[in-house]
Amino acid sequence: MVVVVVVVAKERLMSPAGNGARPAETGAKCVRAGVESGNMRSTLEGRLRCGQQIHLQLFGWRVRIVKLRQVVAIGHLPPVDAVRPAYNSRMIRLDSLRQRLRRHVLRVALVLFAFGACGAAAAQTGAAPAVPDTMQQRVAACTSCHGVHGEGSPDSVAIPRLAGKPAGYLVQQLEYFQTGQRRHAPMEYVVRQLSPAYLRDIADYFAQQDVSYRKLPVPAVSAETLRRGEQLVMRGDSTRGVPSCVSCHGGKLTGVEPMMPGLMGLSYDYLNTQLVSWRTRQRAAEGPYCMGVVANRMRESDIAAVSAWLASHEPPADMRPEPASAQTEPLPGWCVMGKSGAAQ
Amino acid sequence: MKLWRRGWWLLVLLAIVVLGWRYVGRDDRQASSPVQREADVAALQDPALIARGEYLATVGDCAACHTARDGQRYAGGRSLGTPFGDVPAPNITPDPETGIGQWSFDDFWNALHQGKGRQGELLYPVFSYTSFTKVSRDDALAIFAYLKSLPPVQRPDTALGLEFPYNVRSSLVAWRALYFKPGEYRPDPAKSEQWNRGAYLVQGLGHCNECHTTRDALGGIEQGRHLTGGQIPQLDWYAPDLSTQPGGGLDGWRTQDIVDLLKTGQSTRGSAFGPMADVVRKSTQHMTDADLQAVASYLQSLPPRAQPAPAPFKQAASHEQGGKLYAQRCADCHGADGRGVAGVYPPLNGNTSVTEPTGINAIRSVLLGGFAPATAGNPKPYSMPPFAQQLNDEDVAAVVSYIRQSWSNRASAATPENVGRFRNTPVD
Ligand code: HEC
Ligand code: HEC
Ligand code: HEC
Ligand code: HEC
Ligand code: HEC
Repeated sequence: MVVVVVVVAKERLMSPAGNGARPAETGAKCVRAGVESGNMRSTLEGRLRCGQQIHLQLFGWRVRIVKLRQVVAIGHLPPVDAVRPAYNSRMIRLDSLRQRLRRHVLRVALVLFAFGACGAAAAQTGAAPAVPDTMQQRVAACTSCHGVHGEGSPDSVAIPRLAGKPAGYLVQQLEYFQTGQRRHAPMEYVVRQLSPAYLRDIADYFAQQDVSYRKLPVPAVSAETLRRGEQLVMRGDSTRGVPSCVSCHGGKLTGVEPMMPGLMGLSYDYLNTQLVSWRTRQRAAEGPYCMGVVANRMRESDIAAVSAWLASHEPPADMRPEPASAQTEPLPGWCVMGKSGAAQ
Repeated sequence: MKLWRRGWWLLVLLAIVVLGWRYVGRDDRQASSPVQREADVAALQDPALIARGEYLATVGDCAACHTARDGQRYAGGRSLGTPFGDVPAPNITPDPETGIGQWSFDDFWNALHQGKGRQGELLYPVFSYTSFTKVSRDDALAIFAYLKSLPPVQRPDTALGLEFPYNVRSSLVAWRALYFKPGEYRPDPAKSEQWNRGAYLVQGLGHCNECHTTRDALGGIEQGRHLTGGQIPQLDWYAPDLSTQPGGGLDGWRTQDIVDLLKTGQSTRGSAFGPMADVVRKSTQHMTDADLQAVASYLQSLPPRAQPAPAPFKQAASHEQGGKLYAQRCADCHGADGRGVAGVYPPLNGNTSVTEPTGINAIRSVLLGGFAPATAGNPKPYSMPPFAQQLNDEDVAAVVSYIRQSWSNRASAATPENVGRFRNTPVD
């Protein structure tokens, strides 16, 4: 089978976002690159080093690989249109690489391999460590609290799961943390200097994660409390003007695309904190506000009751939010998301 | 004898205050001639002037202060903390009642240049007019034209959060006598045009010195301490010395490093965080390459700093423990050799954010983690986990001491008490 490798080079090609502003050194993240073909692999692996200029013989074509810089791809190169959006950024690079190579009249079937960033190779020799060019690596700050796939934290019931939640909802929460409408100091600091576009990417990353739910601790409460909880969740309490939670959060309480979060798989503490923080205005404080209205119409004991029922309810196997069209009833007029617009 | 001497000093002080009051308190607001005024009014409609004003307002980072976190741009409301209390930034959209809708250019010029409000009241120097006074009249006119072109937003100003005597504006007379000298920037003919442009931006519109210096007990900036670095009151971050010469905070930084930092938020020498990340994202990343080069060339010309007599270097007792923590928690990103990964993770070796005198920046970086700012040049920055939840005060002190004293770094150790103090500092 064929072969090859990798990576290249010129600033214009490799610099992030394709802007030529960054100087050669800053973009420099090197790779170890290799060729998958019998013994050739090891030879190359040994030979390629960061910043090195190399030449390769490829079916008689001489390919110059200028200064190795970055991992280009892992595995087989799919056709461009089959590329999943999540991999876009990497594929764009690949794409321009391919175009470049085409321009150089290199008509070979290229299979790109990269055996890890050059840093990894270099680490043994004391140089920089490996840095995968992935969203997962970029959001290391988030995953240190929320888990690598946003599955939530095993150490803290106060840190919510993010995986699989509607992307629109996640973005909006991140914006609230940015503007201080939702308060949590470490969250506020971490998202403060990010652009709307990047917040969107980050939200998409977590929305696309598909990991199983962990069993959460079930609070010890009376059967009476649980019954009250179930009543509020499933039917609401018309005497207090509290609509049922299912009327907005989806029949299976798994949320509704693109904005409505689910209520399953959240811990008792987290649910309780959120409902209280709408009352104390720690969360999206200003303006007529959906959950602010709901939470304020409940009794304090009701908050504990719904949280307890929700936390002890076995989540359904399919936790995906319902598609938007499945939502029959529009949200009531007083349900406004934040200050600026109506939900959905 | 002692009493007498004290009394004498008081007298002298009183005399200074009274004389100063009369001198500084006089109404020195400037009014332009009717002809000039008409020309100004006509110019305000010029789209080219408005566009230039927008750029200059960005360089001056006016929106950063004059916009509440969840508010409309330039409509004011953000409270700026000072050791004397909070001063809210006013609405500077052209709303006739609550903004600057009724202001003439003279009024605006007097605010920017003289630090005086529309009624001649003295403005608090949290508004960086100590720097903006250097802004040229042409540039001020452009900024004014831009502000006047904004959609008016009705938002009454927040009340001052100052207590007596600080809430009496005229008490600023004495302060101004000590620390404020109005005057436009005067180019130095001996220097290049680029250098002069850089000096104008750094000292004036960019107001870098408002953070990058030490303030005394009265909140004033001492002469001769320009850009020599200091802890920012209330914010509790350390803004380093900006000299690139020996002894300077940016010792060894090349022009390109400075340009990279200001344009993308990261450089091979370190990355922006805390208040500087905000400056980069909202202001400097939008500066033209020519202006960035000018700023860098001016900073390159700052003199070497006196190096303090080398204190006997004392390695923290926790060095070994710090080393272990570093290997476990930090080396994956910053490298065992502290060199980071160019363009991704900042180096810690030789990084002024690590070695600055107070240790605050390193302590808070470890506690808070976070991303370098997302900029056009670095739209998807990598991030660092916050360690506040994972490490106790001793561990943070140990790992911070370790990075401050490893490789070529020879700074003082951090103590657990210090870490405890900054653990709960508000992030704003
Ligand atoms: C210090 C730990 C910590 C870090 C780091 C952190 N988070 Fe959070 N996050 C939390 C906690 C705790 C909450 C719950 C806050 C509350 O109670 O309102 C939260 C809430 C959220 C929510 C709201 C979830 C919901 O269902 O309403 C989102 C979205 C989120 N975080 C995303 C992120 C992203 C993205 C990052 C990285 C940029 C990040 N977090 C970094 C601790 C953290
Ligand atoms: C009228 C529609 C509506 C009803 C009824 C409603 N919610 Fe909500 N809920 C929302 C919206 C909208 C949000 C998103 C809030 C935001 O943007 O912060 C939300 C968010 C939440 C969240 C935050 C989820 C997270 O991951 O942080 C919780 C918890 C919650 N609701 C609980 C409830 C409970 C319990 C009930 C029933 C008592 C209920 N809601 C009823 C509209 C509703
Ligand atoms: C560091 C924060 C900060 C920055 C940067 C800043 N301002 Fe201000 N500004 C203030 C504060 C605070 C006040 C109010 C001072 C007072 O009340 O005494 C103020 C007052 C003013 C006033 C007087 C308004 C009035 O109603 O009296 C004007 C005009 C003004 N600023 C314009 C600007 C322009 C133009 C820029 C950019 C070139 C700018 N400011 C940058 C904080 C800032
Ligand atoms: C609001 C306060 C503030 C203002 C205004 C400000 N800085 Fe900073 N600056 C800081 C702080 C705090 C740091 C230390 C944190 C860091 O390194 O990012 C810093 C760091 C720096 C660094 C070193 C970065 C590093 O990685 O070590 C440079 C260079 C710099 N500033 C240049 C400037 C210039 C030029 C200006 C004016 C255009 C300016 N700063 C205005 C607060 C400020
Ligand atoms: C997942 C990668 C990662 C890990 C692990 C990590 N850092 Fe960082 N570190 C970063 C990034 C990214 C920045 C830039 C953040 C910014 O600019 O706000 C940074 C910035 C810093 C800074 C400020 C320097 C500057 O110029 O911005 C210090 C100090 C620091 N880290 C120390 C540590 C220490 C000590 C540890 C271990 C306890 C550690 N880091 C672990 C990625 C990491």
